Amino acid sequence: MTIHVEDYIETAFSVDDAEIIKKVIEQTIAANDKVVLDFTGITFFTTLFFSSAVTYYVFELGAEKYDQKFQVVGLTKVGQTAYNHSLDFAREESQLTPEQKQARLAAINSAFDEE
Amino acid sequence: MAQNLQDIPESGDIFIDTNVLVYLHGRPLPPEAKKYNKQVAYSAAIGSLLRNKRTLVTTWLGVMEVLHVHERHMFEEYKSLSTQHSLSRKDYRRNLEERARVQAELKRILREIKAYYLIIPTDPAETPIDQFVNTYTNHKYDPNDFIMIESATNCGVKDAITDDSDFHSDTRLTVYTY
Repeated sequence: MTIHVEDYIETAFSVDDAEIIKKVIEQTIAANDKVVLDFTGITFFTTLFFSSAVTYYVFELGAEKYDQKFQVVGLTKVGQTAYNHSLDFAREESQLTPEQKQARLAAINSAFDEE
Repeated sequence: MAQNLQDIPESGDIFIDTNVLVYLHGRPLPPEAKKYNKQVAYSAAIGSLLRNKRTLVTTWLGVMEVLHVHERHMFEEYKSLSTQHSLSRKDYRRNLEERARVQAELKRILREIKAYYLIIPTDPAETPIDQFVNTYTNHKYDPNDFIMIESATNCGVKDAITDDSDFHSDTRLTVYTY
């Protein structure tokens, strides 16, 4: 099923935007359909949005099944870069052991505490 | 005195501080991270301003700070997953494979910031640096913040979104924070 993202959100920018589109994705997955996300008309993107709404499913489904199930179209150049990076992060993160994830989380918490 | 993000006025240009840009355009935090709620709140506020076609202002000095902070975050993450616990940032910068990864991320961040924000020049020349030192006891800024805010207020900016309490005592600005 093709989800025309613009029908649900004006920007693909925030975690709030992600939560809205994630509900639509959930319905599509529950119906066992392929998820085609068409971002035509959207001009504001962040990696944060894609990580929260879309590539989150790399963890849920596994990288191979994600690639079979998801297709993303209609992105601007900025949007495509943000999506590609989000997918790279998710693939890297999904390869980590629980101990590595914990170590990474501790490093992130410490780095942001210094800001 | 700082105000809530929900109270941002409906008109006027808004200065976006480096720490907020890092939350929005840096590496996404996992939900279990301590500062995740800040990332959620700042992304909602800035997303709303963009939908309302507001002008979001930052400075080239601020952009440099974002890139510098992100490079450090990538180093800390890399070190946490590495067996080389004594790895220094100088060593990290000599790792060509990692340098290419960092470069790709910095390109992405720069592309996003250029696309969404009005980036104004800063002038770290003699006069503003003299002002920073001469007025040091009247403000709480570090040199970079001082110069960035001088540039923004000279452009007529009166509102700022920041996670930095150093901004709160500046009477020229209304500060909005999480």
